[in-house]
Amino acid sequence: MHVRSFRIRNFRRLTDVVVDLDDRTTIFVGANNSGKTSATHVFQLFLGDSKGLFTIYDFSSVCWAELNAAGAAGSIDALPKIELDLWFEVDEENVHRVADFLPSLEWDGEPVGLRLSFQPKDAVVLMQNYADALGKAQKLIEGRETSYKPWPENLSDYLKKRLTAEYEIVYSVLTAVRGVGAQVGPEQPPLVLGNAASGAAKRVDSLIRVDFLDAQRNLSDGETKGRHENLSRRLSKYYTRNLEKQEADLEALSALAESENKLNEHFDDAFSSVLGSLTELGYPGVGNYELVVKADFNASSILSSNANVHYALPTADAAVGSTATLPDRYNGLGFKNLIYMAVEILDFNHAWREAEEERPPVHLVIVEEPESHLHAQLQQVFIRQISKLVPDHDEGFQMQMVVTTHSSHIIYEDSFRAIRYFRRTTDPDGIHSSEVRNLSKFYDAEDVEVRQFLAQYMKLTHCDLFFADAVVLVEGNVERLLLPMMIDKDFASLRACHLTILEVGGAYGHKFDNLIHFLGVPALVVTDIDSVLPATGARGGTQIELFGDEHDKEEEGGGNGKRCMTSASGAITSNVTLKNWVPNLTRIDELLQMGASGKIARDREGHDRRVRVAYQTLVHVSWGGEDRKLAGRTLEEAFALENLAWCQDVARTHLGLRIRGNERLDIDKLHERIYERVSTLDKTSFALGLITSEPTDWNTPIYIQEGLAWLEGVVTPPVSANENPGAAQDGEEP
Amino acid sequence: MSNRLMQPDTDADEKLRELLDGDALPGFTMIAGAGSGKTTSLVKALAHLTATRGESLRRRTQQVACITYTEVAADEIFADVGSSPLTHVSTVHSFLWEVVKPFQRDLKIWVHEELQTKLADLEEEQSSFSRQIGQKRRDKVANDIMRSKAQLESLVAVDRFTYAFGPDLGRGTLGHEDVIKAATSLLFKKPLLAAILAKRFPFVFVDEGQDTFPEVVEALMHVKSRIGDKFGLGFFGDPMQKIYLRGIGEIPAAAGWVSIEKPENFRSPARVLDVMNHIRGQVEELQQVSGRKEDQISGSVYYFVLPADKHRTEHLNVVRGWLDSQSGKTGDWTEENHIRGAKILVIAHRMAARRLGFESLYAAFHDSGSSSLSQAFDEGTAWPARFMIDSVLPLIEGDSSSRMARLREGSPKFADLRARGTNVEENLSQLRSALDELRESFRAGGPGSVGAMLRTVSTGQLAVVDPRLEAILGDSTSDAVVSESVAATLSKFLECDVRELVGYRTYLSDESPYSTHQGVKGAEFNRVIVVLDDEEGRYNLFSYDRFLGLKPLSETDLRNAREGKESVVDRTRRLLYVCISRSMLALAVILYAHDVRHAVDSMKRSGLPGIEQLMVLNSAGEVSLA
Repeated sequence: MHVRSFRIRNFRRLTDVVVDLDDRTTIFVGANNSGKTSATHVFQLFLGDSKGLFTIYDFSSVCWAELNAAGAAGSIDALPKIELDLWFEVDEENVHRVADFLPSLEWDGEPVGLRLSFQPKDAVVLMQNYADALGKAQKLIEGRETSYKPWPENLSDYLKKRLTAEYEIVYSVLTAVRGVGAQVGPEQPPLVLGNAASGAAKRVDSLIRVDFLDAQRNLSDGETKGRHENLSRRLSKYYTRNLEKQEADLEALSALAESENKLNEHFDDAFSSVLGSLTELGYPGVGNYELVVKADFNASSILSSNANVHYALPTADAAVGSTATLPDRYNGLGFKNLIYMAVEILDFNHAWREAEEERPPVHLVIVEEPESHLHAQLQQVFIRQISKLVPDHDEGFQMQMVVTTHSSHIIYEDSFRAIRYFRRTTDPDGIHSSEVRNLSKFYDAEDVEVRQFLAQYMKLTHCDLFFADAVVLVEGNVERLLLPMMIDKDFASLRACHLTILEVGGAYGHKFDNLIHFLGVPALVVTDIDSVLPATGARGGTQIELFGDEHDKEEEGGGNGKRCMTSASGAITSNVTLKNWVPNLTRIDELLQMGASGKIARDREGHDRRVRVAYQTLVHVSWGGEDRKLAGRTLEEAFALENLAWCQDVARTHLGLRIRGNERLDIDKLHERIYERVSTLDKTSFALGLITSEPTDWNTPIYIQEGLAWLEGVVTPPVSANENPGAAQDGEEP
Repeated sequence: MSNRLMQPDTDADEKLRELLDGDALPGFTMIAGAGSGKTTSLVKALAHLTATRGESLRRRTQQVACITYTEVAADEIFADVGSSPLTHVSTVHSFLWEVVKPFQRDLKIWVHEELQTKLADLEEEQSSFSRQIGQKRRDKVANDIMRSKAQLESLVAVDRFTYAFGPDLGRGTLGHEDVIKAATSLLFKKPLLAAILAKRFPFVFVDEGQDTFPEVVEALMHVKSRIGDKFGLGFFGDPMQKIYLRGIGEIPAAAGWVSIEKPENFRSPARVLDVMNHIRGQVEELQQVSGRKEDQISGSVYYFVLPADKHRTEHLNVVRGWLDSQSGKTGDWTEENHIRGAKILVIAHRMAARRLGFESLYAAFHDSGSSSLSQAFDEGTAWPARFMIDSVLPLIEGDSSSRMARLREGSPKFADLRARGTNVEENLSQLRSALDELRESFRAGGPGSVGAMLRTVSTGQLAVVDPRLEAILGDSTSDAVVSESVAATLSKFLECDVRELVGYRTYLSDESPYSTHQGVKGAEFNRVIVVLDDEEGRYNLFSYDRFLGLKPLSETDLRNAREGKESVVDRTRRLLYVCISRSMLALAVILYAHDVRHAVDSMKRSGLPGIEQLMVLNSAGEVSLA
């Protein structure tokens, strides 16, 4: 039995989201402030330690207006509620445990739904009390001119103080629509079970246990619980709570007794001089007791007070084993965190397994941001091993884990299936909320080859696609290096966004289409027009080359024709993205004619998919008094053409684009030479050379400028003030 | 009783244990005669299961269910298994309610169908009235149709059903009968319910299997046949001790069914056991053997035939005195306390009613009106009387804290105190004055005081009064459908003196020397006097005269016998078996007859062991050999 999905309504920015859970481990990812933490906190408030301790701030902001409107109108029907719908998949083994929650005896294995609703205890009474409070407030300021506004100003203000008195959790049974699954049919209203007082809460608790491993950091205080608690103390707690009790363990007891004797001998030895000197002072004297220092081992406190966890250091000779040890406090925070989490999860598991009566069949463990202080490899180890840490579950019982994370290392360790992507949205009225995308749906719908490619790509590059406001797919290294500069130069507002720059050749860009669209992130694909002459020979096999050494594959006989200048007549593109995706054209002349709107990807209905390609365009070039409309074949060529005089200056020789004796060449000849030069150019040194130059000296190629301008228009920079502007660049979250 | 687990194992116990240890959970019947320690075997089996399967049961949140006939028996068995939370011991009603309770929507559908069937029946009757039907009946049916419709209407708003005393389907209250009907019908119709029952209770044991309703037995058998080896079902009982009319008697064996016989008897002295085996032997093969071993005593058995005249009680006292002289200790048979004295088992309650002063109450329930209520009265379960005894009398008895507890539990007025915005002080003082009024009615007593008290309870909202009673009390808002016969009984009940209820309660609580034949199942007494008097019982279910051959069998009896149906003789034989098997030391059987001589002849021919010592009253009114 396990939780199959849940739906949250009116909770913080989660105005209405449905989240599917994997039967083992589910990973919540998303940018900051996208609601992943709220999605776990709602469990704490409905089912965990802080059950029912909602505050008015837990209501979505839209609810405030609703509350105040209802308060002003005295309407009892429109009071908002916070709701958590849980849908369970129930196996035969557990059918008797959910008997209380089955909608009817017609039930036939559909998901079993429970609604936990934080709602007014009695709307009529609430309104009366509110009216009373208003009346009292009125009396207070009656006849006086004052800017002071007594409590309550409005209903939400009233509930700021009185929420827990006026609201309570009410539990109901939901009926799934047959065949549709976890949905409530309109014809079957929820069947109310009751509240905490009527025992309904207890019945629900007997079904699911929720434990939290939160990301609270309490570095300063060793006594408070938290991941940084002294590990020795943590282990000792585990020992006292869960492991075999020492009374019964003869071995432990005799070990203790032996140590006690040894320690007594030692104390005798160590303290004899002190005690001896006491004797010299006339103590003990006749009839007085002799002083002896004794070790007193209390087995139960031994781990916390007298024992320390040490870390065995590896030695050169493995056979000897490890003798050198370091005490707990010398251990890095990362390991401490890892061990702490492992112990805590084991502790939860133990407490759940050992529950005497009514062991809940479902155990939901929520781990918040396990990555802190763990380096990349440890993060991967953690997510891979964590579910293997706990013993195999008994038949009919299931532990489910939810991990919220900002770490790309954790996300891509597994397939996409476990990922739930939280995404910020803003509706036309400026109301912020979140939506949740189930990556397993994407995974199941996507072509096998593509999803394998994507999974592999993500795993190898650890790109932070899931935390991005926008994505830029670039052809290669040069673009990756230069793009941040270009953004800095001309598009300052894009700097405030979290942009992810993915380096992926034009042959693969289109494979990201579905994923990017699924995630709902706008994307700019900066690619090359890659002009070639139509192929004549037989086709060879397709080469898979993920991060190809630039994009010169066509020369290696991949079935495309020989590369050529964009001006060559009859030239076509070898770029799969352009050919098959956007703008879905092959002929270079057509591509060059294409206007801006044709470069935006559209779905079958013609809707904007918020994906645009940018490739070289015809630009105005002057040289030696001659004017031409020319287009580069690659970024470097386009750059050289658009900064022709600057590049051809002798001072820029180090960029590698200067053609010796250019003053003798006419514009067409020069273009040809540049085209030839680019094919042998050391592109990285070109990029590095450019980085060291003054950005104001050169121009960003028009096609990139156009693309970035489009992106700037599409991305609404996050409004929240706490967004970290430093995170604008490609890279790990701090 | 708490040492049931300490009793030595019998062969039957060992056989059962073997059966329970198998991987395939069994279906079985344990047939155990009177005094055999049937409940001991049941308790042992329960304890064995919790010991051997406890961990698995606990882990899966499962329980071993045990269904008993009364709440008292349930409490006793639960205590015997050390109040183990792995057992669920309850009456059949509570058990079935526990099973169906979560399925409120299905219950609603069931109730709806039930009410519609009833309405259809009434409408059918109305449409086919012949000319002979009087206006009274016509009005009554019209009225009932109206009320049924009202119930169907009010049902729409019901979203939660409760099981309570005083059923009112239209308002969401199911009564005993409804729970049985609804649960058994749903168990048959809904495979899921059967699956849930078996998952939650992988074992169900039924005590007093012979007296369990056939529909309950069939429903449980249905679960067993559906679930198979993963559901264990066992009936503990004795067809010979079936005394309730609606009991199933013998449990029909299904395929693979195991029958275990427990022939031992640990209670009866040798002579009494002879009589039991004689009676049992008329119809059953199982002969009981004493399990007492060297502790076995011979005991005594006496038979008397006394004239069925106006002086029955006086004659009885003569016999009791004589028995005292025989046992050599004054009081053995004459003490009013049955532990020191003797227990007198009468076929019906009129004799006891007369003796204990609740004759008019008895008459109210017996002389007209509802026959189901008269039977319930004899069994101590008639709801109007129970309501007075359980919910009204405690309001004026006991200490103030127990009275307060009663109010807290049952008073709608008291419940209102908790609601916001009530004037607590005013309500409390109203409660107080209602209680004073109630106490005053009780003190004054006299005919009609039952009605007076009920009226006070109703108007003062001291307890929830059954809508049928409300209707009779004159509450026009009550939409309860009250049948004519029930209405007749209720009206008479209201006319009774409340003090008669106190006598009735004494009688029910077994504090008196009297008990009825049906009321002593499972009990045991040192000395037992069984009074056989057909005139005491007003209904023709039992007849000692016919059983003993004083009167010839009726046409119906003969037909029943031919068709293999249960006859008066069968029922009477079982009743007699139950009565005589209560005795641990001595037994006296007294037959009242109009024609003593004829009766003596018949008795002598009966072949009962020890009948040669049959005693009568001689002309001097003394006991002498017949």
